[in-house]
Amino acid sequence: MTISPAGSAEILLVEDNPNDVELILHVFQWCNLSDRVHVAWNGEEALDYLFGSGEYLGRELVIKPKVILLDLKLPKVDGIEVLRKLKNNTSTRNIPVVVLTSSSEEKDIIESYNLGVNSYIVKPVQFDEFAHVIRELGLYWQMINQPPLDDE
Amino acid sequence: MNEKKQYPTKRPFLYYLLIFIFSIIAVLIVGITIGDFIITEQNYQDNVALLRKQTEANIIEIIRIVDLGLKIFDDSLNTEMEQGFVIFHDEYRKAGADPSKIDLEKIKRQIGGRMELYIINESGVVEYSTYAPDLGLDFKTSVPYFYEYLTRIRNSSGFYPDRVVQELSTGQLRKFAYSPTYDHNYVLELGLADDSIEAERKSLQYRSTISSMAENNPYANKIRLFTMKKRLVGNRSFVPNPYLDGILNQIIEERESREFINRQSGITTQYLFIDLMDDDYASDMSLIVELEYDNALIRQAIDEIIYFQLLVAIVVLFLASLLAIFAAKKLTKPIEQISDDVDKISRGDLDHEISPTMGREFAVLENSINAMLVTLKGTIKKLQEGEEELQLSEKLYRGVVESQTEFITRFLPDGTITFANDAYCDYLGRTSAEMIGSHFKPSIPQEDKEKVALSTRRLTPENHVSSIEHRIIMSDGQIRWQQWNNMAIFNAEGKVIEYQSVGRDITKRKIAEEEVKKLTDELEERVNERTGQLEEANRELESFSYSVSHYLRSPLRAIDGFSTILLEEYYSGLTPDARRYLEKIKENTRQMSRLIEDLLNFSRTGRQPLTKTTVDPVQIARKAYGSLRPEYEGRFVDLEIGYMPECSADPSLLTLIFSNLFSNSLKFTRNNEFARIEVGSFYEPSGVVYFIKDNGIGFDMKYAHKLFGVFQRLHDNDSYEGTGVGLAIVQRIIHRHGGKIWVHSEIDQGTTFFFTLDGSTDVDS
Repeated sequence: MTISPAGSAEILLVEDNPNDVELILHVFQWCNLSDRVHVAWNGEEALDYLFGSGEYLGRELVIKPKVILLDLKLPKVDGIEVLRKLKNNTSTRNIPVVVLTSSSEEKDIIESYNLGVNSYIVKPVQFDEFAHVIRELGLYWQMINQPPLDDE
Repeated sequence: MNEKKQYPTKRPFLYYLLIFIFSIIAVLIVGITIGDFIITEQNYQDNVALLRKQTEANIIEIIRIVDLGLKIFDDSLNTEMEQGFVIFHDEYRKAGADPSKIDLEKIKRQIGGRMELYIINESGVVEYSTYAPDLGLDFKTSVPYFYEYLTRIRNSSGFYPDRVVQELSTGQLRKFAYSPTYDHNYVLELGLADDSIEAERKSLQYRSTISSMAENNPYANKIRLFTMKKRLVGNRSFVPNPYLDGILNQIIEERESREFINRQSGITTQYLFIDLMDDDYASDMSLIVELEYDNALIRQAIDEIIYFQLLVAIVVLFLASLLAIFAAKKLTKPIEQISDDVDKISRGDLDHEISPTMGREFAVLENSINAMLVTLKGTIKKLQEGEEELQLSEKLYRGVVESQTEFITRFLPDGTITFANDAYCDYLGRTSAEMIGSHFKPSIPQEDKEKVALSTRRLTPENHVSSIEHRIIMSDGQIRWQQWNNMAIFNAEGKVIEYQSVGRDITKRKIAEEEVKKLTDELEERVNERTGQLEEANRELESFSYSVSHYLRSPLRAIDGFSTILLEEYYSGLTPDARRYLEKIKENTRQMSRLIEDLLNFSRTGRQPLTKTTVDPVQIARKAYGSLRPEYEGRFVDLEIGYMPECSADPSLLTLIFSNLFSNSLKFTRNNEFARIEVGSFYEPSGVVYFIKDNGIGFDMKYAHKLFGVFQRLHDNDSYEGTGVGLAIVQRIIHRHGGKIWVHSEIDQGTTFFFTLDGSTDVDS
């Protein structure tokens, strides 16, 4: 399920749970950001998207996501592995990554920060809080997506 | 003991006594002999010297007397010669003082023909004479002193008679007289000589008299007389050898007596100068007596004295020795007697009597020995009694040692066995006789040898006991275990003199021990295996519960999420009941979410590593209470935090304990008008006990065992919400600290939780 064209996505959401994907996209809709989101349903897909391999072979790699929302519990290649690969590659190292997970395991938190994650967010069960977090993320994206000063 | 006693190589007392007496006598006799000899020799030497002195004095005396006699004789010729000079002077005057004109032969006839005439000129030369041999004799050169004398006469006047002397040229005896001429140009001289003078002189000889004097002295073996002209009296043809000539010249010049001692020949030669010079006469009549004393004769005489005295000394010594032997025997006889008696007693004949001997001291000794014997007999009797007891005790001791099942052995540092009890001998299958005195050593396996050697080698006077377990190979090849307690016995220098070892066969015990060890090892292995399985299961369970909690959250989030979207975005299309149901769904998701959160915490407390530090429970309790503010805000809660000592615990987990317990208390005091929570500690003998007490609703103690189980709740969910996990967490944390938790409660009275934090406290709940 691709919300935005593969080439123009500015937010890469890596999430396997369709409920969570729908809820997140619902919130992004409120902020008019849903068309900027590309969803990768597992770690492998996320890596293929980022490095132009697999089904994304030949994707224009010059356009990089502005932010990556990464779940840790993923089928095939898990989130920590994706993060490690991202951060070890010079072309993707500078993309901000926000871990968005239901795991509040200290081990996962510490490992994520060690790998250079920008933010670590535990998905709250209550939707009110969940929506609040996603909105915050949207604001964050808007902030880093501001045009350079000389364009004003 | 009854053999003749071997005395050390000592000689009998008699021997020493004899040597002692003999030594005293010998010293006395030798002393007396030497002293006597010295005195005798001195006396003898004195006598010899006196004799010599007397001899010499006598000789001098006699010579003087003889000389006096000769002088009288010589002077008796003066008258005749004076008359002769009267004619001589007349003739000289008649010749007009010209001697050449004098007919000397005519004058010689006129004056009797016995006198020869001489005319001596100023130069001392006989210019004219009737006596041809003296014509031309020059006194100035041959006898200088006489020339001076003649010169003095020539310048004087009168008649100057001389003594009867020997002529210079022939040695014939002649009486000379001198008279100066009136013009002092010449000295006239007359020399009277005939047989009567010779005969007269010979009747007054020194020599024979002196010889007889010398004969009176047995040591003077030679005597000679010399004139001042070095002529030997009585021998005109004697000419002295150069040695004697030198001696005589010296004496004549010095006019002193001299003595020469020839050590080689043992002859002392005495030259006595006898001064017979008379100024009235021209000639010096002094004489030199040569006396030879033979010292060998003196020596010989002294030697005879020595031999005699030695002989006497030896005889006396011999007699004294005989006397000494007699006296010593007499003295030692009683000592020997007592010695024999005592020897007999010492060989065991205690009833032997000491024979009475002479002397008070011996009587005292005899009494003392007899008294000693009585005491000795008493002592021996006691000793015999004691020995019987000792033998009895020894027998008992032997019985104990020999009947011991323990092995007892003693051995010297070189390995010689000095003792081995029956148990040890039987064990080794040897007899006591085979063992004792031998170097027997049981065969020890190679790997135990060093250990066994070390167990005795390392013993010191400070650390003289050691214990060792080792194996031995029995004669049938069987290997058995032994345990030995070794003890070294040291002498005063710290050297080992003997070892004593007490041992036992511990083969059975060893086998049992090995069995036990094997079983223990197996058991341990099984326990480890089980533990491993259990740990694995536990890990899986933890992981499972974690995953479950985790995956439960997603559907919950979806339920809540879509319910919320329905309520918010489709609100107008929903009936009030539908809205209420959606609210209920949301409420349940919240409840479920809390439950999952608690479950996750519970799971985490089991897996989280424990980091203990020193903490202050008072501060932690205060912090934990503060974090529960929403639960007590707007309520009256009287919290009292009492004294709690510092302890070692994981601070975050201790916080969890307090917050869960506070939360519990706050929950069950919710309906109290005045809630009261008290925290504190007290000391039990086994350690510190902490407590949290409230005045809440309490519970029936029959449900106390359910209290700390997961999801166990004692109150209905409507009045007291909760997941039933909090106390389970508290208990888990306390258990992980090695502590214990228990509770006391009464319905409507309140509940008190007690807990400890270390395993030392063991209190019944």
